[in-house]
Amino acid sequence: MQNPVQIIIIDDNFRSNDPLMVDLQEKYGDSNVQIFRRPNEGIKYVLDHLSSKIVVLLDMDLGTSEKRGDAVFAEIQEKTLLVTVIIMSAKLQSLSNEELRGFINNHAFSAIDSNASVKTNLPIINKAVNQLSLRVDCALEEWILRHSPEDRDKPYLTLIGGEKYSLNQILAEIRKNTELGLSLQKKILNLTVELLARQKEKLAET
Amino acid sequence: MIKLLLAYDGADSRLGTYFSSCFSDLETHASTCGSFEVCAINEHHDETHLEENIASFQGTPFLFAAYTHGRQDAIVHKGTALVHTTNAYFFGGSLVYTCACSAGQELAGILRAQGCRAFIGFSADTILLSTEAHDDIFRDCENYGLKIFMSGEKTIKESYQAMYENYTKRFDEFCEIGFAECPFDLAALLDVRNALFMDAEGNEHLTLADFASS
Repeated sequence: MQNPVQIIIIDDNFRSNDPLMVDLQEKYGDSNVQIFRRPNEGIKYVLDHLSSKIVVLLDMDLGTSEKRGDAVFAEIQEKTLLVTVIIMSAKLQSLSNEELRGFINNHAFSAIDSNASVKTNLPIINKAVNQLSLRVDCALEEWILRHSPEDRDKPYLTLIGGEKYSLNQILAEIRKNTELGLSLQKKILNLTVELLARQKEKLAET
Repeated sequence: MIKLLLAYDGADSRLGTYFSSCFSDLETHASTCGSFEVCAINEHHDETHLEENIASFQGTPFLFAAYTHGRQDAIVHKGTALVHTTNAYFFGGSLVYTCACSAGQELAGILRAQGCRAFIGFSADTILLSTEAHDDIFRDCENYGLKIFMSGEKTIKESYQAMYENYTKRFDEFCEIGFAECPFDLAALLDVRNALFMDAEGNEHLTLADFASS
């Protein structure tokens, strides 16, 4: 069972019949593309779905009484570094140097002009989605999802200190980039390299 | 008879059963060989018992294996240091063989400076534990090198190399079932192999005969 990528648009003015929306829904499925016009609702959705693969299209100006896009970005980054964020704005040229530095330093995937054509913006979004498949956390997620929901909640891994983790907890640790999550990713990467080096043929083909 | 001193923490909350099984495995092997006098330090004993046992050897070289936790400068037993800087001199002339994490980083050098002939252990921590279903693989790998040395047919260097190769062999075998079913166990086995460490500089040709009572 594949876990489909979620495209989350946080933009107070984004229309549901916007050509980009139409194309995204056609490519990724209607239910997998959502608009959140209020930033807190978008943030809540993202943080409640850390086990999903998510690409966020984030507007900067989200309304006079709402937090700005850079604050939304920071709030998401505080909880996970593994959600892909694309800055989407009609006023990219108005971004301050400080805001730009923040986005670059915190690994925003790209910045796109919301007034640009679908032909221009869709490939960038597609590239972000494709890169999700290259990440260890996504590969591990796919492996974890092969287990039944009941099995995913059972204690699976024990650490040297005695702490037990279920598969779902392991995935959350990886997505939150905790020390444990990073260590587990590194161990899986080392394992993969070892298998490649020893020319093993079976590599995640099941 | 060659002195074989085995320490293990059978009461450890997570690894007590595993440590006990490693001890039992080696004790049985020593009994089968017939040429070893085995002394045990278990969870009911402490550093005093360890030192009293070694003192009773009256300077005879001995083999020491420890199945317990560790840190960079000590082998830790029941939460406290069992082998450390202050009592390292007790191990002059011995072979120290241990699964204690990270003891290779500093303790090995401390022991060698006090006359320990060779140290085989690990130079790093591994945070992962295997699911208990595969403890037999880890135990086999754990004791393999010492068993080879105890055969009397290989030097300490050859025994260490055989131990490393056995980890690789068991890794290959485990790959066939492990990658799809339990990749973290496989990763843990690889971690442990990659953390293997030996300090026997100048004594690479040490054999079991060097530990025979004079």
